Order: sequence, then structure tokens, then C-alpha cells
Amino acid sequence: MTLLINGVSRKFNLDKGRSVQALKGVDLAVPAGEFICLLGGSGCGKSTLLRLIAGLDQPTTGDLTLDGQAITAPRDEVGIVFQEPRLLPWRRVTDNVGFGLRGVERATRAARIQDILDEVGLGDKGKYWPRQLSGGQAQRAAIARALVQAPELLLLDEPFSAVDALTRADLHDLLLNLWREHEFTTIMVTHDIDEALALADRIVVMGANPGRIVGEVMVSQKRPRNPSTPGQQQLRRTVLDMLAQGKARQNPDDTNSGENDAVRRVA
Amino acid sequence: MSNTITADATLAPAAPHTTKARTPSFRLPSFRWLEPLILPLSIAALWEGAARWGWIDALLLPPPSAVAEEIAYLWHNQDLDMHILATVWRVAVGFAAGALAATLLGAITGYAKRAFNAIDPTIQALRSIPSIAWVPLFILWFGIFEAPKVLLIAVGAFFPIYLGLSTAIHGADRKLVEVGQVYRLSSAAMIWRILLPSALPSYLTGLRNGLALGWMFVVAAEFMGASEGLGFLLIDGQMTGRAQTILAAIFMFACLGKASDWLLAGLSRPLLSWQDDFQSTRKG
Repeated sequence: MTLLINGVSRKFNLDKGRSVQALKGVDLAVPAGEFICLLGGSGCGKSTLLRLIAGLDQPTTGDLTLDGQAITAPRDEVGIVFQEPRLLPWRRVTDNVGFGLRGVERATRAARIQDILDEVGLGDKGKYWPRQLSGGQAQRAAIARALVQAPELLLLDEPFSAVDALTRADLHDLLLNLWREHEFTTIMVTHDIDEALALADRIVVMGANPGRIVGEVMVSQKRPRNPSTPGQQQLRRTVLDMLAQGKARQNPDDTNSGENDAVRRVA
Repeated sequence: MSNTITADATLAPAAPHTTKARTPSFRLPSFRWLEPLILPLSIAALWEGAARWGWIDALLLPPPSAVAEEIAYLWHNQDLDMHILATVWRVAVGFAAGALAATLLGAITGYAKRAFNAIDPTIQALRSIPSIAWVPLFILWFGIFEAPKVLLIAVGAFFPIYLGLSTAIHGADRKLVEVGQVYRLSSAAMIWRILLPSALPSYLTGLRNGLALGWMFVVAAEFMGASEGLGFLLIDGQMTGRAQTILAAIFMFACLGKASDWLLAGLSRPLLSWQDDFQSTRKG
């Protein structure tokens, strides 16, 4: 599934006629099967961009298409994992995972849920309540919920930022295995440069005020990657330069705290 | 039982010196269920004693034994069961009607902002009218029989249930609603699958408050010319100067109110077993 983003801007109107340019002139093409990381600091519009791709929000100008079709609403071929697991606390893990699975026979449904739970390592946790899961397990369940309908595009919004380092490494392995196995396109938002260097085929670096793409970096090293090789170190410096560049162009008029807060809230 | 004994017998020779130090293999039966009864029973005993020894006027405040006698008397000679049934029926019908209306309106105003803007201010204005103030009007409209009584109870039960549901839906987690949007839930599905479950704890609290108000208003309703019901017994006791009749009716109200609340709480508990809160993790 090919994603095309064409001259996309998103402006949020605040009170008293003020507004915030969360995204401006974003162009991006994502071929099927690629693993992309959108990297940037807070307020660079990376989450806004992800919401536009998910169909949860509409651009002010420009257009987004999936295989030529405009994205106007969420769809089954696009799965999404949020920063928080967002499991419904009143449904057991099985029912949470099967939440969006529609038009499937009961037996098939149960089998598909069990298969994906096995894949994310929660095969024996189906009967649990969400409150009985650890943070990492809950995020695994959220990934299972996004993957159970076999999406062709998986969107992840800083999915591992709230878990500890060891769990995060496990979840990175899990995500890469699932990606290889199911061959979905992946777009992951992150502010963690090392996470992006470990996972992505291509890192799209974003800057703030207005939110925009400052540059791209291809990561060609085979996975599992070694962060201390000269090549990776060189890439890291390049990405850091781009991030600095994204900050440097900040317009002092746009940086008063009220607007930045608003951006964070809507982003 | 026999298993326990053989197990003990095989253990005993292996550790002969620790036998004395071991805790006894039988346990005192647990009396934890008595805990909530200690306070009321103590008060009753004190009260009984005070009446027996003449510290209080047994005519104005008859002791528990006299109230018990009165209950037995009413049961055998005055159709106490009929009075109870009449009152329970009124509360049940009034509460059901009030709860149904409150649930529908609460769900609609909770979900649709325009419905909220159109309806809620009126409901809030009506809420500020003391419900008893409706009584003369209800009597004028419906006469003095069952309809105005049931209606009054319904009105009383309506507001806490409506408010609990509507407010809780407004307070539903925006992030979970967004999950519903991702899966393109229809409005009805959004209400049924996300908003109502997340509002459930507060809704059930509203139901319990509404039921309590139902019991409160049934008394007011039965004060307005009833020929049966526990409220009628209250008035009857006052007219005939029998304090024990009044206390017997009050005691029955306490039992019925407690029993119905216990029933409602018990029915709702399995619905809330998913909750991750202080109560559900607390022992004892």
C-alpha cells in the first residue's frame, strides 16, 4: 500500500483569532513495506501528521492518498497504536483485541484473536482484565488489536515512550518480527533518535514552527543493528544536525508558551 | 476430614518437638460477619435497658421489645404484609419509570452536545424545584390514588440517575472515544460500547441514590391520603398515639431500604469486576 502526502498543511484555530501552523507544506511518499520513523521534538507536528494519515483529522490544504484513494476517514487497512495502550478497561484482553474485528464468523474470530495474541506473546493472557497487565503487556495487546485485522499500513504514535528500557528493547524486537512476518508498511512517530536508528529503513526528520520535514536519512545497516559502528555514528550526527536545523529556524514570534501548549494538546 | 488427620499423623513423628508450638489444626469459626451488627445491637440493648429501668418514657419511646411485639401484632392482625407490598410496589414502579426516563435522557444529553444544550438547562431548572412541591398539582391532575404517588417517586428517582449518567458520559476518556473513532463506530455503538460502560460506575451510584430518594418520596406520597402502605402506618400511629406503630414502620423502612440497596449493589458488582480501584484491591 503506497502512501502519498502532497503539500499538506494543518492549521489549528485557537481562541481570539489566533492560530497555529502545526504542519506546513509536507510532501512524503512511502512505498509498500517500508519502515519509516517520523523523528522530531515536541511541537513539530509529527503526531498531527500521523493523525492525518490515520484519517482521524483532515488537512487544511493538500491531500493524502493511499493507493490513489483520498484518506477521508479511518479504515480497516490502517492499524494504529497510540502512545498509551488505550485498552477498554471493562473488556477482557481477548475482547479488546477483537474490538474492531467485524464481519467475521465467531470461530474464525476467536482463532484470529488467539493467533495474534500468541504472536505478541500474550497467548495465555486472553482472559485477563487490562488492569492485570504490565505496561509492556498492555502495549503488546494494543499492537495485537491493531494487527488482528491484518492492516497493510501500521501507524505507531510514540508507542514505547512510556515503558522501561529493557521492555522497550523487547518490544522493538517484537515489532520488527511482526513487520517482517506480515510485511505491512510501518510509520512510527518517535522523539528517540536511537530508537529511530535501530528500527527504521528511513528516518524523516521534522522541525517545528511551522511543523515541517527538514530532511531524510536512509538507514541501510542490516538488523539487528549495532549503534556503535562508524556508519551508525555518522548517521546519528547527521540526524542530530537536522534536528538542530529544525529548531534553529524557529520564529521567535511563534514561541510564546501559550501557543506551544496548544500545539502539544492538539498534536 | 480423614485426609487431614492422616497428614497430621504422618507429620507428627517427623517433628515431635514442634508439635506444641504449632498452631492448633482447628480454627475458631470466623465472626467477621457480625462486625456490622455490633453497633446496632449495642444501641438496641442500651435502649431496651433505658426503657426497663425507667430512664426514658416507654410510651413516647417504646423499647425494641415493644416494637418487635408491635410488628408481630401488625403482621397477624393488621395485614402488615399488605402494607409492605403496597409500599414496595410503589417504589418499584416509580423507580423503574424514573430510571428508564433518566437513562434515556442522560444517554442522549451525555452524547449529543446539541441535545444537551437544548434539554439540560430545563432539567436543571426542574431539578431545583423541591419534588414535594409537585404533590398538590399531581393530586389535582391524577386524583389521590396510585398515579400521583408513583409519579412523585419517579420524579424523585429521576434526577440523581440523570445527573450521574450525563456527567459521567461527559467525563468519558477522550482517548478511548478516539479508539471508537478509529474503528468507525456508529453513534449508537459509540454510546453502547464505549460511553455507557465507561459511565457505568457513576451510573450505578446514581441508581442507588435514586432508589434511596424513591424510598424517601414514597413516605411523602403515602402521607397524601393512602389507605395502605408503611407511610399510612406512620400517619395511623401518629393519629392513634401509638409510638410503637411508628417505630415499627420506621424499622420496616430501614430493612426494606437496606435490602433493596444491597440487592442493587449486589447485582451491579459483577458488572464492575474490571475496575482497578482502591475498593477492588482492598482486603477485609
